[in-house]
Amino acid sequence: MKMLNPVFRRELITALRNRRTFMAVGAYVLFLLAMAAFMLYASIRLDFIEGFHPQITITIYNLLSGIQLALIILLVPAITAGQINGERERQTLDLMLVTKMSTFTIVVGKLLSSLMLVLLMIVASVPVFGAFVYFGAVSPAKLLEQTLFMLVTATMAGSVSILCSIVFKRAMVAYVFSYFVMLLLTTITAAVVGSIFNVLHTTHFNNMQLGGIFVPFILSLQWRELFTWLLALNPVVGFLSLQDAQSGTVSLDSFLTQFLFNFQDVRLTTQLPLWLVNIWINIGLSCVFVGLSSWLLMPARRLGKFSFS
Amino acid sequence: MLELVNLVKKYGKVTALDGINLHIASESIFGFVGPNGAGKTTAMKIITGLLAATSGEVRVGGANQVQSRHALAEKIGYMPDFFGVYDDLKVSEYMDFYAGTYYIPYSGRRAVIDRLLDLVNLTDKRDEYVDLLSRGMKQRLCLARSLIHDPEILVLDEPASGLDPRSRVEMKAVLRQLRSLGKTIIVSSHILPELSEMCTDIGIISHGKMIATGTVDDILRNLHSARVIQIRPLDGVEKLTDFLRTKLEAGDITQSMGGVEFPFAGDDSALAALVKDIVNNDIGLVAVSEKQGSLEDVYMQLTNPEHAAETETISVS
Ligand SMILES: Nc1ncnc2c1ncn2[C@@H]1O[C@H](COP(=O)(O)OP(=O)(O)OP(=O)(O)O)[C@@H](O)[C@H]1O
Ligand SMILES: [Mg+2]
Repeated sequence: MKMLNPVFRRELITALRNRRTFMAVGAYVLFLLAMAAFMLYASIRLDFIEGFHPQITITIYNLLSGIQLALIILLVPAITAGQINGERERQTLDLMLVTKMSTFTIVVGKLLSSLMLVLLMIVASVPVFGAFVYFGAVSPAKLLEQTLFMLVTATMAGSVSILCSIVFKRAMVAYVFSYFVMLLLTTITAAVVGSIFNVLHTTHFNNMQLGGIFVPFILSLQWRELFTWLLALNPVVGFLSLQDAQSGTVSLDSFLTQFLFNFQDVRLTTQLPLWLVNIWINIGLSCVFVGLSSWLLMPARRLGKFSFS
Repeated sequence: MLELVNLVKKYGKVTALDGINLHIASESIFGFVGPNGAGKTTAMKIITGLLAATSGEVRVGGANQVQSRHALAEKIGYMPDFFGVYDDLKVSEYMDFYAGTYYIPYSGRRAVIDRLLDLVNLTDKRDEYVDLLSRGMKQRLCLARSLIHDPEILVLDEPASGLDPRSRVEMKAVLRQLRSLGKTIIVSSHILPELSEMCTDIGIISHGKMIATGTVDDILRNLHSARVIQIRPLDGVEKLTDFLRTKLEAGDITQSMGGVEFPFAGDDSALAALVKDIVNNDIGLVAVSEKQGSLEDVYMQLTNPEHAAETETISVS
């Protein structure tokens, strides 16, 4: 008989009993609605445009989606990075490890439990974003793509945090390291690639002496491929690329096209848009982190030293 | 049923277990006794698969030896020396969670949980939050939890610590009942008399070494020197003392509270012969007894660090 993951089931019971769960989700949806209403009102009031224009709803949709992504990246480590250490502190970890549950089941249960709130938020926000479908800001298919993107990003952030919670026995260190990894993925990759672009840009266009050495090196196909992959690791870049593909308002692809791709017609060998590559990378990372977590959590790993002969 | 073979566990430089050999028969209650830091918890964690031994083996299951972690989990129920409770769960939900961790079908859970709560006398606390239970109740709940999948072997780390006298008696009764249901039970304690009342076998562990194993009686009988006999005559303590001086070493005999006390090196039949001699010499006896607490003396003597090093392992079977 198929059963719900026991760890997830337990957390579900307590979360559903806890009024704060519903208050958090409700507050979030209200917040999104208020933001949308305010922005719509302000844009009309400030006379950016005359009357109602679909373009403004596209911008608002993009901004709200950005807020949601930021929330995921900030909230998921806060909820998740204490999970395993919390069990350690309550001294319930050993109790779970001696049961028939595999460490994989425990890790997945913990991951689902800590993503539960964020998943609820994402799902609850679908009707809000759905309103933008009604206004013609986005197509239903694109909304689905974005929801998928958010779910996968949340899962990746969660699995990083779970791994930190297992590796670092001290809760504080686990939190700090989880946020550091998220910072690395969202900011540092972009900063590295951005500054290289900058060098490339100035040297190429100013035709400085340095350019003579640097540009051919940077422009070599392998290097540009590498930079693009580095960017594909970045959820924020993936997100911008998704919005770009959706609405054409954020011209990330044109930015990249100008500085990277169309220079000599280079694209990722996959030929996929960055956001889709980002989704696949995050699915891959999540699997690796969950697998590693399960392995590290296993007690007495050297079972040869145990009995079994 | 359960065998430890030359088990060694080192934590860095600390040797917590130093070559433990042990055979625990099916359907026995084995008591691990030893002072703080002796290695009891370490040994139990290795048995449950929570800790890897540095060397040596644990053999679980006799002929059908356990081959996987999954099979081990099925066979062993573990109650650690701490509670491990979730503060936001009710007693029945807590039990239900652990029933889930052993994949007990939803439909069968209620019956199992009710039966176990009844066994540990917590039926009326069913809907209470776990963290509101008293220490003794939590302990009983943890025992019930360790039984949730009906394991063959129970590993209980200090199940009676922190319990009041009545709860202790009840705990012992529950353990005896479990044994009669065919379970093999391993308990630890640092109080020897407590274990001696309920265990079939005992192992005294100190500094990571088993210094004595066997039944309680056997261990005592083989530690002659530690046996102190008290005799209370009807009258005439002097007469008895004089008589005893002819039989035993004079220096050992002390008078106390209307009686005489002396260490006795012989076995039970030698003691019977001595008593007969006394009676035949027209000394009326009111009571002959072994000094209370002598079990503790044995224990103190055995687990004394200076003594332990030179004590040969006493094995009685
Ligand atoms: N995780 C650990 N790291 C290092 N040393 C440890 C660890 N756990 C136990 N020890 C050491 O191993 C030895 C045995 O400890 P153990 O907990 O097995 O003793 P115990 O017999 O259960 O004692 P108690 O009666 O106090 O519970 C001690 O010297 C202890 O300091
Ligand atoms: Mg202990």
